[in-house]
Amino acid sequence: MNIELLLIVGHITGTIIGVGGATMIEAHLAQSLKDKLVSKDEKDILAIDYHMVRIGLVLSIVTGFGFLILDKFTDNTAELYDPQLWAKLSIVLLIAGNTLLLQAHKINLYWGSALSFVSWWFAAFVGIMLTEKVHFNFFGNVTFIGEFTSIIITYIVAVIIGAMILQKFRNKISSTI
Amino acid sequence: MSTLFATLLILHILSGLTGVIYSFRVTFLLLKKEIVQMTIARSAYFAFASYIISWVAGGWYYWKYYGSNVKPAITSGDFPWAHIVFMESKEHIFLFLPFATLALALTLSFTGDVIITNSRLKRAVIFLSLAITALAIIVTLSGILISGGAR
Repeated sequence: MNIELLLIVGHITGTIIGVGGATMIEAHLAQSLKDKLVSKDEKDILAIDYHMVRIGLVLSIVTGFGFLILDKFTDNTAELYDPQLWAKLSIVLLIAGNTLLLQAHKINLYWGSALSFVSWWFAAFVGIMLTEKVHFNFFGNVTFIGEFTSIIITYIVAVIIGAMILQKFRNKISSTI
Repeated sequence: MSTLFATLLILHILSGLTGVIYSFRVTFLLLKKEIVQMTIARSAYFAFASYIISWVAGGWYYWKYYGSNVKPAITSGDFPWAHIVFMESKEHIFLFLPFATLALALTLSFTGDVIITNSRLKRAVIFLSLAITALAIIVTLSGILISGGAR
């Protein structure tokens, strides 16, 4: 098996575990908060979800750097200045930063869970765009700043909408009891 | 690039990345309600060892290959700031990163329960750990920019 294929399999696996884990956190959290109390069993299930997301994050980051090393050794270094790559790196950093904020209780559930859930899905979509070389730019001319800013603006809007939808989803579930 | 320099560069990147992951883990565990001090200290020692490996591999690569082959290509190319700003900053930050990490690991190893009971010390340790993680991430991102500047 060649290294590139191994990295693709590893990166996709990490993304699936991360996106799947982040989605399950939301589902389990909504279910747990239904009665406004999180039992020990519910806490244990959430702990497994968080653990899976961390495994996904580490696997995605390590294999992601594998791609960057591959770019370097195949003289494909222009890829390292791709605005989509830097947007994806920024979102991954936000996922990591959000993990610390949630751990320190410095961010509330409304924004914390939306950041985690939307960031994972958004990073996965940017990854697909990066692979398929799909570009979009709100500012007309193709520049690094223009494309990077366009992606980040879309991401911020996605987080805001995501936070509202997740809250509605939690309210709907808790109103069923 | 010879196999030796390619190996050194890969070792530099992967061990550096391992160091960042362990530094992040230290910060994350320090923010937990219940601190398991020896587990955190062990992670800090892993981060220290990773940075040292990355340090030696990166230093050797820089000394024997980068300075004479990559640096001239970057400084005479379209992105000279990749070396002038980012490499120059990276190499200085990278000099003290392992020692800051060792200081953190030693503090975690030898302060006993004091870190749990003394909130000021705990805050200072968290701040140091957070600073190490942030600097390590900046160094890592600088590495990507430097590699991208060499065309």
